[in-house]
Amino acid sequence: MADMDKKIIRAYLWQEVIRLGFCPSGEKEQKKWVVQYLNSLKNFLELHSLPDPPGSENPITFSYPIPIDLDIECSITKTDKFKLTFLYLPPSGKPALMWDHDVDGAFFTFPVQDFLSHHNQKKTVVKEFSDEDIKVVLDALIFHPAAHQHIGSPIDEHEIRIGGGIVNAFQFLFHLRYQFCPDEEKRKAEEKRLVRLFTDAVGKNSEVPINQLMAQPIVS
Amino acid sequence: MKRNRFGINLDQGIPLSSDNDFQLLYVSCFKDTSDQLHEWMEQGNNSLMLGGQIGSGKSTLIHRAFNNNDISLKPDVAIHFDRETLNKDAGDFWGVALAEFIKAALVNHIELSFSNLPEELGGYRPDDWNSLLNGLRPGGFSMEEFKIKKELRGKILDNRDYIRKTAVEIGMRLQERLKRPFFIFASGVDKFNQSSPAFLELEEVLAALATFKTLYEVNIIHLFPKPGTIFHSMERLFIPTAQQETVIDILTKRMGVYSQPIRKQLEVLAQWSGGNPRQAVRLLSHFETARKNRKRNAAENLAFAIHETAGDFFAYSPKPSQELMEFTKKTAKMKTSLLFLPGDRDTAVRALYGNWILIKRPIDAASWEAAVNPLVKTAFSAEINPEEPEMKMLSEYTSLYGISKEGLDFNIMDDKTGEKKDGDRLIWEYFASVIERPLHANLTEVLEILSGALLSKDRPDRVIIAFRDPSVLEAARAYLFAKANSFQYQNYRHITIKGEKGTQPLTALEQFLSEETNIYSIEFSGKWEDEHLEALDRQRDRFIDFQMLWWIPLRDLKDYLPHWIQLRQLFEIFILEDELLGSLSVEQVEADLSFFNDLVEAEQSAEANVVHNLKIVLAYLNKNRAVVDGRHG
Repeated sequence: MADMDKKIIRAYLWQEVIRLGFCPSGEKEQKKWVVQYLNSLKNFLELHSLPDPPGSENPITFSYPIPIDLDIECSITKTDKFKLTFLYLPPSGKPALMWDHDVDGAFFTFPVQDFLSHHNQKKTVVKEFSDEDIKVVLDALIFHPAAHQHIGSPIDEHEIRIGGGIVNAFQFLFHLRYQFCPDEEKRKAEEKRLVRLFTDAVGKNSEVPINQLMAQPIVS
Repeated sequence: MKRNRFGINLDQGIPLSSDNDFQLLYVSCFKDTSDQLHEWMEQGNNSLMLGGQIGSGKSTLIHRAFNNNDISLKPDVAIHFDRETLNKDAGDFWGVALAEFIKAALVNHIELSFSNLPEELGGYRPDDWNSLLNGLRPGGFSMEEFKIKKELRGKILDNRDYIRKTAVEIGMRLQERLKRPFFIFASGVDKFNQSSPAFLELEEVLAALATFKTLYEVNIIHLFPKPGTIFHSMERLFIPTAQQETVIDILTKRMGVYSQPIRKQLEVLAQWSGGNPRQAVRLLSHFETARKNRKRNAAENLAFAIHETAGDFFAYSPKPSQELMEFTKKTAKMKTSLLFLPGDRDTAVRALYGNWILIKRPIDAASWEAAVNPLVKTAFSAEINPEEPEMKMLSEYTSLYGISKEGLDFNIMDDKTGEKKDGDRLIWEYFASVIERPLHANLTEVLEILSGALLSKDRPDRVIIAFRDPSVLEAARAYLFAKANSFQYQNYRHITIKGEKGTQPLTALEQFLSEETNIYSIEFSGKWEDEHLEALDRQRDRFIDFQMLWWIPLRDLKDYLPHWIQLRQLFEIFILEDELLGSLSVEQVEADLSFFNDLVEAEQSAEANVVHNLKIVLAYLNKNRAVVDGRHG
């Protein structure tokens, strides 16, 4: 077969990265994912303390603060049904600004997966993809989503990009972890770590263990 | 201690010690003092006292001075007088010093055949100095080793003059071998109140060390020894309070990249620190806790931080005299003669040793520039002065954002007139109350403040939880143990230590701390004796690496805290409300239990610990709810 189009390769990788890294199956795995995610935030963002643990059964509900006077509140019913609220807490104590990212998978979205299945090229992709392909895909999913919004005033942090159109709860949360990291070196180290992790996972067709996904990058 | 590279680094105000600590968090506060210390380390031949108030940054300054690559500038021997359980008489203190001398002699291959001390003290072979060293300073803890150590120290006490001569001879031989002054660091002298019996016992050992080039780490009150003692003519260096800008720098570094949004609030906190670095860090730590809980606005967060810090450091403390505090406030001076006059000495020592008054700098031999600690001003004046700099800064916030009953949990209406109190009066009452009557906290409020440390293994903090009703203890403990395991597997151990006459509570504590675990929970029972309480106070720094929960009956805590001026610096203090049902609901605990029950995969796991402990809490709540329902039914 002739060299496969890079775009096709990356389209397959897009789906594979989400499937292997951000689709914990069943309620138990999803709870584990959230607990380990929250646990990872303290070290990743270098916060004062750990967030409060999630406390109710279903939907999985939790919140955590970012020390730029921002609070994140999240409620996950299913992988593609969740609500994430950004709450800006001005010094006056009044919750003046609130913004929801609401996803409901019951509504129609473009069925990328079905088209790719028809192509039936996954085996070829696994043979031909490169680190660079994974990097480009992770850029789009985590590091620099093509459609994104910046938090402007009153929090002027241009490096924070909130991805638009992300319908997977776990991918969305994980991309926030990266986006709220204010340290450039750590971001770079995290990019390298995730490229290695997903290159390996796609090559072996094995799910990324939660603890490995949530591990801390090593900054020299 | 694990440190963050770019983010927030808060703790209970422990000294900086590692290279990483200094690289990330150090701010040069006392350049003159630091330069003089370096000069003495390089060129000095005689002893030096380095003194400052509690939390002023002595240990950090000393660690910084020793933290260099020039081995000749590091002490040959560091003697930690504050880290021993048995520290009540000269036998104990000589035991600690002798062990360090012997260790240095063995490392430097010093000829010790001039003495048969191993045989004379311990019945070892006359040249078996290693066994004597192990006997004096065993590596671990066992009752057998403890007994040997105690016996050796008893013999040392009986032969203290002989021991002094032997130790000095070892020191002289070391000096000869090193071909330079034998440099000793006498650490932890600052933890001894000058008028305590233990200090009188320690004094003879300290005097003997002055034969060599010894650096004494002392409190400011030690800088004024009695005439006629060897310390009276000794060279001394003083650590003053830090400048406002310097304190802001310290707090800014502690907040890392997250400092910018709260820059203005850091200025207020720095003002309330009075220039004491540890007080500043504690204020920031409470401020961050308040921010995280997002129940309050910026003014209330600041007021909460000030209130909690004052409670940690001063609640139930015996106060210095009103006259002294008023004099200091009025004149901004403290006379050194007060430390010598029989009528004034006690209150002056109390004011300085307890940080009620903070010393800014010496003016001359007879007086210092001084200020009343901002945290305790309300305890000495009936009216708050809105023109005081720290009040002025805080008032800007309270007038801008207001303070509410919900935010600070206090009475916003005047009981007599029914009128709404003004902001300054509310704040004054709020701060004044904490010294005499600290606010009680329910269990979830305790957890909110503790969560920074308790939920994570990275930060070993210590906390005292006072209680009235012992029947809530098991459930309260179980709740905290459960929460501590929410994210990480954390082992915990609990012990009840009895402290009545004839008991050996400190030995029991030492044995307990020699066991491996993540959280050490200790319930104090019986009435502990003053001698034991004071020994605990001196051992403050020994507890730095331990995550500890101390459970103490409230009636006893009021008697214990006056003895714990040092200890409370590295603890946070809570008074637990009697009623757990008020803050924990059966439904909430059941929901938590249901969440974690699903996740249990192994018996030795965080999730299993959560479930085990939540079941204890749930059983307590169900039982008590049934009792309450029965009463109302």
